[in-house]
Amino acid sequence: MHLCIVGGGSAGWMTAAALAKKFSRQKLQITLVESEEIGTVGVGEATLPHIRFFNQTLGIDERDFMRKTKATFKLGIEFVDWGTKGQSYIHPFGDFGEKINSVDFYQYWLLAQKNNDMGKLEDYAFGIAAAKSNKFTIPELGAPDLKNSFGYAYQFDSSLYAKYLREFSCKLGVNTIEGKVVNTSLNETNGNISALTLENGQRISADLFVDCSGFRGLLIEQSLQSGYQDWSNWLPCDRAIAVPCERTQQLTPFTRSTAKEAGWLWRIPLQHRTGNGHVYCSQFISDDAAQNTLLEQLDGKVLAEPRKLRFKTGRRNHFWKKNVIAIGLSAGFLEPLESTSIHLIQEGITKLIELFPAFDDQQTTSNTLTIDELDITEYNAQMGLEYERIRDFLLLHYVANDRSDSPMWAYFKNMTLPDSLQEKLDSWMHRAYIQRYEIGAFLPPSWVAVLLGQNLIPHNVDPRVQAFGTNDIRSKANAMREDIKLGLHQAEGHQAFLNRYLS
Amino acid sequence: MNKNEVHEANSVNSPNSKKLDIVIYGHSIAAFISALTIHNALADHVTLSLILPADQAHSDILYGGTSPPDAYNLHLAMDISEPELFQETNSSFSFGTHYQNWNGEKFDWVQAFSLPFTSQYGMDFHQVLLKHKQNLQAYLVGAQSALHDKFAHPPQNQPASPLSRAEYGYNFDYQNYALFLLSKIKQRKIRLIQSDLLEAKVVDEHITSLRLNDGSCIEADLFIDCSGTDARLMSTLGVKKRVHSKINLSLLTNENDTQMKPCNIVSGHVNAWQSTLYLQNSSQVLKAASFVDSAENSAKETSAENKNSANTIASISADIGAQEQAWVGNCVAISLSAAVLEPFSNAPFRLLKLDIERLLELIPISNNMRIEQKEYNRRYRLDVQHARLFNLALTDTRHFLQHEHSTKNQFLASDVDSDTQALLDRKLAQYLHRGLMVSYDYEPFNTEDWIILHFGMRRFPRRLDSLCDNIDNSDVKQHLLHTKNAIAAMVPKMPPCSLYTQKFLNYLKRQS
Repeated sequence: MHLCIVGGGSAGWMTAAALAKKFSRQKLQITLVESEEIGTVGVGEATLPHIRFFNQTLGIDERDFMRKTKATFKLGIEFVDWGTKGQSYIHPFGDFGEKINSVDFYQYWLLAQKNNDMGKLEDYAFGIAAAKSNKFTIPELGAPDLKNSFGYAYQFDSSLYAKYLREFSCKLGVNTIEGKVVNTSLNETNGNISALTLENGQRISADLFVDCSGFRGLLIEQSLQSGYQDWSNWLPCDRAIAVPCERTQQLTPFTRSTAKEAGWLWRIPLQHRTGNGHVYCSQFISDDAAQNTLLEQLDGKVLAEPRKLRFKTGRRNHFWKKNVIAIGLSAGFLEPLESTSIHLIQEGITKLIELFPAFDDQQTTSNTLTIDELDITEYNAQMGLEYERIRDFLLLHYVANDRSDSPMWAYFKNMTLPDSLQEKLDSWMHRAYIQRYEIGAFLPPSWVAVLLGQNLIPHNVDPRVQAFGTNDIRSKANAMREDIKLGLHQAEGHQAFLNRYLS
Repeated sequence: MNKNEVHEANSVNSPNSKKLDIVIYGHSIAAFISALTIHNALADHVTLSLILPADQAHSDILYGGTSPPDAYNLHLAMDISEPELFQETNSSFSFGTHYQNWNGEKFDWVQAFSLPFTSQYGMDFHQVLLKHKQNLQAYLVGAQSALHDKFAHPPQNQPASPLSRAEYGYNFDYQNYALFLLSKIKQRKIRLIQSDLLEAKVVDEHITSLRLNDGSCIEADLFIDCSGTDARLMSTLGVKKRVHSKINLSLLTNENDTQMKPCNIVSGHVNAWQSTLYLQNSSQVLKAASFVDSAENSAKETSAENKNSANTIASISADIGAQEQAWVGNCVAISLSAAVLEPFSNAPFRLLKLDIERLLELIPISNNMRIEQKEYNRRYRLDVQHARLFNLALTDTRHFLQHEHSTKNQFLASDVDSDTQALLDRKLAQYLHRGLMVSYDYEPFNTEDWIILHFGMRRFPRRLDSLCDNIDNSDVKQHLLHTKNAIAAMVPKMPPCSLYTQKFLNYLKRQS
């Protein structure tokens, strides 16, 4: 079987690496077409903990990967000015405290807040405590204590990650072709794409195509007209400017997102520089003003020309259509407020591997490859749910706050929310209840982190918390805090840890 | 609530000083478990009364006398320990359900409880087994133990022991178990009102009071209907119940049967089946016959025959189906008052536990229960639907029949709504296509349950995960052989279930 990937960015090379590794013993010939002229967007320098499992599956050595991608550790995201101006919180990878009598710890904490009894909620999450102290340690696998109950991810240079995986993939036999796709040929019988033609006239036939061509969706949209679900009424930010700067401050083990009048700024500390960007809504701010806002906030000297991006939040109607699977920005776009860009690439790849068409040498010529509609339907259903649930979680950040100080925040204030999100907010405010789901990137602890971080204090708590005596709760809470303090004491400074770990 | 209102609160309200008045109505396993769990979890928030009619609801036989491993935690939530359960009831251990001659296609397997399967090959364990044409049953220590009538507690902290992957639930006698639970209620500060319902007074879909046959009138903030399939309170609120089929059930006892098997045995097919379960010193047989209205007489005759038998404990007719809403106004229907699934699986007990958990998580804070009601009903509908998928999959033999048209007709005879059908079809189609396990949020039956079910029902995918061709098969063969042999070597060394149970009881006796 011949598979062709179009696009040499993070999505393209992550796909190539994973497929080449996973199907290394099978007759899968992979070609990746990339174009220096087009370049890559370089999405998402910050990631979610899931990326570790992706790398582990490929057999990638963490140290080697971190050295080569200039990666740092990430314990969560600091959200500044989101709930209200002048305030910040960290959304960690992990839960707050431990359940007591089957009831989530935050419920007890909320009740105790009345008497200011149990300190801050963040005192019960090791990830936050370590992030605030600029410390890091690797959690002990399987250890039940709180100081080991956290996850971590990476902040890395995504262009270096793509380069790293390029080398990795080529070693596994992935064929690379430099060139710009100028035409696609369709099989008239089944509507599949049969071949691509490059600017130099080279024709590339394949059985299956993975479209990693970015926003334009060269194959999935321009050739197969998948159609696009526009979600910009809910998430109206439509532009971004990205610029790296010198790193001048301590190496923080967290990404920072600062809410602004017409969008938000990201700050991602890497080993060699700091990545910065401004995601904004062009309806409420000019490009020049947006760039100024970004440049004013930089830690250090600008290292490159600011790059401008335009996008429309939403997703393709079909992530997989005919013999084309769209992965990455060609599949859809959700602003990287919660570092989901690379995660969505990873999800797309994982599901593609799960649903990969059969290797049948008798059938797999470019004209006869039959892709089962069941695989396509399932892939589209699973990816659709993934995108939709992340969309609601991102929107939560914009509506769960007390800001109305600019036209953009006023827009969110007056927005009619998707029913799915409105119900979640209602049940939270009424009794601190999280309407949970099992399948999706952001589980209840993440919702709690944002809701409480952005000052949405519910009117009531779960009445079961009253069944436990105050002294007992206090004593358990103290034990949790002590455990975290001990862990913090044992942890190293982030920079020191990196120096030692990567030496 | 408008999102603009959300910032009005700066801190959580003080707990309501007025306790929530809860009245449970029913003489049933659900009533007792509801009372005990609510009492344990919310004693300071509620005042709890239990209206106890004289006789236990016979619909309790619809649990089929089987509970899944989760029953252990449910008991802990009532402060009931396993030793108490075994000393004070005739309950027994169960590694699962043995389906024998099931469904007219002579399916035979043990639907064993199991911890998640582990795989070291970068793909799901069941795919590896399918690739190597292995019988899953040989890799389930619970199944092998059940087939050989052996039992021992799965060891903790011994991951190398094959038995550590097994899980167990309980078989129970519905009357004995209910009596035991009632005795626990009498030890708690729960107000018991021994009387029966004459009338429920309803205003605007809210029950304002219950008039009892002792002349008293009971008011409450929240009423919990645990009257079983009669749904005495819910029926006054005009809730629609969707009925899928009708069933006659008789429960017969075989006293002094001491051949303890650590499972129950289910045989037959969707329209007529029986379940035999083995308790301490006796066994019971639950016979079920489904009927459509035209066949009612014949089914009733069968039922009548059983009724006249000297060893018949109970006989009932029941509608299999579910109320469209389980929470209406200030009344919540728990378990069989809300939804009834056929007990050829342990779905009814799983739903009971889910009902209790859902209720505890959403116990009202005030008399305005709108949000709790909405969320409870949302989850209830999903739980019932997802549990029903499992039961439907246990009776769906389309994969065995050549002509899709005829199968479809046969299958749809059990009145499956299009939404549920679509969810089931997606699960089955994906599995049959390539062994893919499709899951929905928080299903009552986990992936392992489904895999065991598919193997048992001889559903074999047309193709496998593409990764299957990417593994070193000689290594896999070696490992599979080792795993299978370890189980095969261990099971004969385990004690017979009856002996183990007796020794366990003797040990408990000595301890006390």
